[in-house]
Amino acid sequence: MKYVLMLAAILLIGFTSAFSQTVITGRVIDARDSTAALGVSVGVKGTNLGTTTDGNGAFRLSVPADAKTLVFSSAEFITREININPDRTDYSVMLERTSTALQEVVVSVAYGEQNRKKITGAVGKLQGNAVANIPMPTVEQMLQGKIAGLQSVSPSGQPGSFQQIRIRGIGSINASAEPLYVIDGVPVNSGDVSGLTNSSNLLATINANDIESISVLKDAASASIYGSRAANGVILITTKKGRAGKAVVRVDAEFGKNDIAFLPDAAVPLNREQFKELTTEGVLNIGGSPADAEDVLNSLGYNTTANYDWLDLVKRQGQQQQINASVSGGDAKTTFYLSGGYFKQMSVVIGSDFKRYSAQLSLKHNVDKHFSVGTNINISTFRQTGETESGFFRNPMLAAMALLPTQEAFNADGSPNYDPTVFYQIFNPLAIQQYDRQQNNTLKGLGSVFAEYKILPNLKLSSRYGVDYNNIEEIFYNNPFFGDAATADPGTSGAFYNNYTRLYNWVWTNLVDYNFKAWNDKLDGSVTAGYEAQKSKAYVQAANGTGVPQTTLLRYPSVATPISVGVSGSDYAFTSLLSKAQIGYLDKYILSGSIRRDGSSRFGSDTRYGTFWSVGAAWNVDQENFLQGIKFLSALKLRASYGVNGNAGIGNYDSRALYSFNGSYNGLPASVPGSVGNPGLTWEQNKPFDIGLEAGVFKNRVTVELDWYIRKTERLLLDEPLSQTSGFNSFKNNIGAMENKGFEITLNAIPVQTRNFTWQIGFNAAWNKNKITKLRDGVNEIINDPYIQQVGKDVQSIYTYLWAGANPETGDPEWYTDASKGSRTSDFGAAERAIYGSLSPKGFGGVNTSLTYKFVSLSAQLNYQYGNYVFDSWAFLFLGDGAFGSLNQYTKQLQRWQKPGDVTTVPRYDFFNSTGSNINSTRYFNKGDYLRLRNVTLSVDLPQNIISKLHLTKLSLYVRGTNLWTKAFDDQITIDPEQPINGTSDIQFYIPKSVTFGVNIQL
Amino acid sequence: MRTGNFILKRKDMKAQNKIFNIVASVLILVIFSVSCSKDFLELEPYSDVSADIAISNEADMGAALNGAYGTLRNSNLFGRTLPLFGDLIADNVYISAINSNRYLDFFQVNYTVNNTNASAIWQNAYTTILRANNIINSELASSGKVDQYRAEARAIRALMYFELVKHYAKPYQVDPSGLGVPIVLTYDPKLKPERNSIAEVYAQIEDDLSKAIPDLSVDNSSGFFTSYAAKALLARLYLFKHEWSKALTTSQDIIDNSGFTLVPAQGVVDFWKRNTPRTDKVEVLFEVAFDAVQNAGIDALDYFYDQQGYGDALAADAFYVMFSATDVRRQLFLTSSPIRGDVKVVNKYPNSSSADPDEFKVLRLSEVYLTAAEAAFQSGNESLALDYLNELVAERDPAFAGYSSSGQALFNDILTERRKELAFEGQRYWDLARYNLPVNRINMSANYPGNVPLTIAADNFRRILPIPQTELDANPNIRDQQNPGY
Repeated sequence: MKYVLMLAAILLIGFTSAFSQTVITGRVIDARDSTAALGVSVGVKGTNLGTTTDGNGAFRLSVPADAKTLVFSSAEFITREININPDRTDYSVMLERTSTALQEVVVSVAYGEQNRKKITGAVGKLQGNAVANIPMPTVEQMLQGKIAGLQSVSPSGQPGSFQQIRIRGIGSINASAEPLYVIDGVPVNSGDVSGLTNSSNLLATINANDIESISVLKDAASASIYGSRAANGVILITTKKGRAGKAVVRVDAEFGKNDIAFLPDAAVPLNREQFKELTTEGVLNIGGSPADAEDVLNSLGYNTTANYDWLDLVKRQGQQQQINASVSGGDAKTTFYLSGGYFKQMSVVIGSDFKRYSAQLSLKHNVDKHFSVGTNINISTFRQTGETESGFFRNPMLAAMALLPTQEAFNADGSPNYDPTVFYQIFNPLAIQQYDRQQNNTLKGLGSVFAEYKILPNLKLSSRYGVDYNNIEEIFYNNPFFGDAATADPGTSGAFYNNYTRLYNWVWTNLVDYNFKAWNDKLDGSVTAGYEAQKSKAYVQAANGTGVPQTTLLRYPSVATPISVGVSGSDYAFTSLLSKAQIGYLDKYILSGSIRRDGSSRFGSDTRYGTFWSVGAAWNVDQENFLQGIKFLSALKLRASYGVNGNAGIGNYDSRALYSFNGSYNGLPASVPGSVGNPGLTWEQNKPFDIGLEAGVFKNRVTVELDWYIRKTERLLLDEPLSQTSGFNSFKNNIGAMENKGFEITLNAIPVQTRNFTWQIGFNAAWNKNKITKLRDGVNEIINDPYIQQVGKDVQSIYTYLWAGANPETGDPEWYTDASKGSRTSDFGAAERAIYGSLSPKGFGGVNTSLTYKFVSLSAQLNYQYGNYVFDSWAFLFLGDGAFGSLNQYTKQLQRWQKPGDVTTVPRYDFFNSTGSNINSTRYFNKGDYLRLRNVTLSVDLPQNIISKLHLTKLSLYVRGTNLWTKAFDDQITIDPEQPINGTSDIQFYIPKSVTFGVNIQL
Repeated sequence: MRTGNFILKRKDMKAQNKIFNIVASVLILVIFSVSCSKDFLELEPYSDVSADIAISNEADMGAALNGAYGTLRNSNLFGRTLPLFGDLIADNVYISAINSNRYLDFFQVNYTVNNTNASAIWQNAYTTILRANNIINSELASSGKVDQYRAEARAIRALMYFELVKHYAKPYQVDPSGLGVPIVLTYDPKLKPERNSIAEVYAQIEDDLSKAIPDLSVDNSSGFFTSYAAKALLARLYLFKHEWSKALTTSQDIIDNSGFTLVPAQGVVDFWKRNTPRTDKVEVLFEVAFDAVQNAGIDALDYFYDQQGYGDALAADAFYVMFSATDVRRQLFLTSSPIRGDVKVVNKYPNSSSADPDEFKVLRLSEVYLTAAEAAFQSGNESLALDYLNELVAERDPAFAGYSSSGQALFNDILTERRKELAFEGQRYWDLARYNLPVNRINMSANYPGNVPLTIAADNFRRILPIPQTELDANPNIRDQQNPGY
């Protein structure tokens, strides 16, 4: 097969041809104030010939003799097309300012670009400048609140960690619900593949400043062409490309500080006196004497004078820094974009850092008017350091919450104290940070080469070979002196783990594009057909040993006792035939369709092929004669789409019943049943239906985009629970169905636009309602305490005991006996679980606004979410009424019951109780409604007369605040309300708030 | 339909021939790649094989058997929970006031259907049973090795059902027809079994052991089941069923014919220091082997006792003083903790900080002696009972003249000696449970964490564990068969 592909490629290269040219000059003017329009790109339609206007708005461009149309475009202006008059070589062009997203004419879509007016699907679109110079390590993080219906949150606070994205709700339960990422036409591996370290992200290598645009494909018409991986949406990332003309040199630099964005008062750990009071009371409450209480306190360090605020010791003012430089330009034959970037984020928790170096090159060369070749290459490396999160004794955040003020933090010489008699459970996080190391070095090469051959101006063959290569090197070093791996025997003290992961993914895409016009150009259409093959191979080497040298100076210590070495691998492959077509009449009526046949290695040979399709239609009502009289209406479009796409986001071998050869017993190799398997396993099927309306009034000063959708997911890839007597907990099966329906609105307006002052305001909102419509035959619920999947209910429904608080007479914990909340009981066994809301928000979105006065502008973005619960899954330690009496407690614990008559939700504090009051119940679920000021930026664009003296094209300075203000509406909340998709806190590092200062220079 | 721009210019004509080549190539490519895509999509895992061919020869079966032994190391089987439970819910061990909250609810006898340790015993025991079932049911033809492996798998299965029925069902004596645990002997992932009766489960264990014993011909190390290890388990089973004569003859068979010897007094401390299985036929009939690579790590029993580890579990003061100064077993304690001060620390498992930690001894010859003594006593042969008892005691406390009690006093002496010899091996509670006796925690420690019941009456519903909530949720047929009280 490869030989045939090569042959095709060689044939493509075999063409040359000559062409003649004319030179066109001109000037571009801003229609608002008749000043020169700078940096506008001027291109020849249907080619990649082009230039940009200079400081006077002037341009000069060589065009082929047969060029017909010039296209003027820039982020600030409405794109305009001008027909080339063969008798004229000088043009003066007025451009209108853009106000809203509706006017971006050309949008990246699946396997190509499309004029916005002709799009029949729901596509969320973001320009690169919306993600540039934002103090966040990953691009996906920046999307929260920016695109209607897209939720982006991280399960970890580690900078550069994996980001969860849900588009139009949760479409899968046990299969991946993440979207497919396609970067410059290459479907890439995404997610967290780290093995030893906290949380990593394969896409954290991407420098947001290199991004030209992001398209979010939300419905069938836009996404179904990606077939079996489109069910949860597709995110297309297009990197910056060069344009013909004077080279543009751009430098962006910023630095700043990070701090904790939100820490509820209720969750602040107790100080020395508060904890003493509580513990004394707790010992007396279980029948101890004051002397007993003193003994207990002494055993907890109260016989020392130590008094530390561990939260203060663990947090820090993190630094934030990025520098990006790029050069782009080219001539009629060759265009290029070259950039380098440096990004650093120090989290607000000690030891947790992220540093990235990235380089991007994109190059395109027209060999002749038929044939062009090019490449996009991104090489990037990042280093992540940071301790483990969650309930590990080494988690600095756990330590900040759990260590007592009486635990002596430092030795006499100021070094961190790690005496195991003082830190007998949770280690001193200062010592862990100094002595231990957890590090992830990721190197990613993401690149593609492509060739395009235009057989005819309207018939194009193209071939793209893309490679997505990741090297992940991780080390985890445990010192030999204290902590998890310290022992008395030097031969086995300390530990060193080393993982090497290689993830290699190639994709070969071959396409034929054909477009046509007919009936005096009234009818136009396009057809794309192609073939795509993809294979991803993972290779992991892991080695670890114990008995490290008794020094901390070695970065790669030797080990006295090797423990284990192992190699594992996991592959998947896809083959696909795909086609899409579109036909339009007078730009009024547009019909589109797509079909794709996918084969996947993840399913059994009888069930691995699936066919996915879509149909879409759009009606540009504003083009109709009957609306021509309505002057204020500048755009009106109705669209609808329906189709079928799929999800194959399961383990590579989940359909197989396997025996795993791993481990050993008594030094002899062992095999164990690994999975139940299911040879009939096949795609999860998603059927999205979407109706959209796009409208603009007052020359598009106000635009609105509305979408209503319902997407039904069938044949869910579900972990069907098994009776554990089978020896397994569950197996993957295509059972059940689910639907998400919702409504999205994106509104943009420019209420004020004068020569000197512009006020823009935008709003996006989404409401989604999820419902499980079917589970297994005869089974209506799957309980996964404290959650439930029940027919008719939201997939993230909470199912737990209903907390009633303290008995006012005795202070005993009480639960409601059942959902009616009619009676309370102190007998846990007499309480029943009940459904208690969901972890999924009812609605979320963002509001953005910007005010520009002359050269000063102020912009802001406010994100919100409401209607969900969040779960503090570790509160049982810190709000357990003494169950964990030797750990520090939340301030909220002070609200405990003290005497008969006290009405409180916090029971009597019994030192080391097992009353069950800290068993998961609604006690640890709080409302997750919040408002967060995601961004506020004040920037100054230095006026032209100043920057021209400096021989610059642009110089702007800004100060930006990120997450500066957070409002949680539940005043009993103990965690940041911005939690992962599952709403569950896992003692992550805090989400930071940042203040950054930046400068942007353009030569 | 008229198409625009579809007229070829002359100079393109030359290229046009090649265009057809390209189009043809693309077509070939598509057709060809589709036809070869079958192989392209046929990807085999790297470290797994299909379950249906996993046991297709003797070596495969050996590997699968090692996998079955391997689960016994799980921290909720012999890795920690099983041996801890039997001491903690009785009167040998307590959880220090300074603790990591592990097993506090066991000690305080206050656990619910959601208890993770309780559900993990269930889950891991049945995981082990599946591994054994696959070996027992494999279609490999009989051969010396195959029969040996199958027999070992039967012994493992018997061991697991015994632990399950002990933990989740009432003592045999209380109600043999009461609810036991589901007997699953074949692999069927969709099975939703009901609970079998206690008597049926005991019969199944007895059947497995009886079938295993004749085929266990290999004289293996103590890390594997041998015929005498299976007999020791059978003797224990008879003790639980109060079938005294069978218990006596089975244990006598082991004592007389196995060739195993009691660990002598001077060897006791070193015996417990040893962290590898043995072949010298001293004392250990079967132990679960933990090595440097495969172990329960910080979730191991030794780490839970070790004061450099969690150190949460301590020996009861009142228990420690039962050992005379001349009793070698007293040397298996430390008398202070760097963190917890003046407390009694269990030092029977001293290898927690070694790369290769402690094995767990499931069946020992000393237990067989105690079983013989108890069975002889219950059969009315007090002098024989004293013989077996004193033979053991002589090797533990050489200065002690030996027991000469009779009647109830002798019975108490046997149980006390059992308690002392098998301390921290998870046996104590079951000695009380099989006679349906209450637990009395007398003067155990001044270092209690609080809320500790000092008596666990025979009718306390928490004397057996709840059927896990996960099982009730997944298996509708067992939903109405929860143990009363939960």
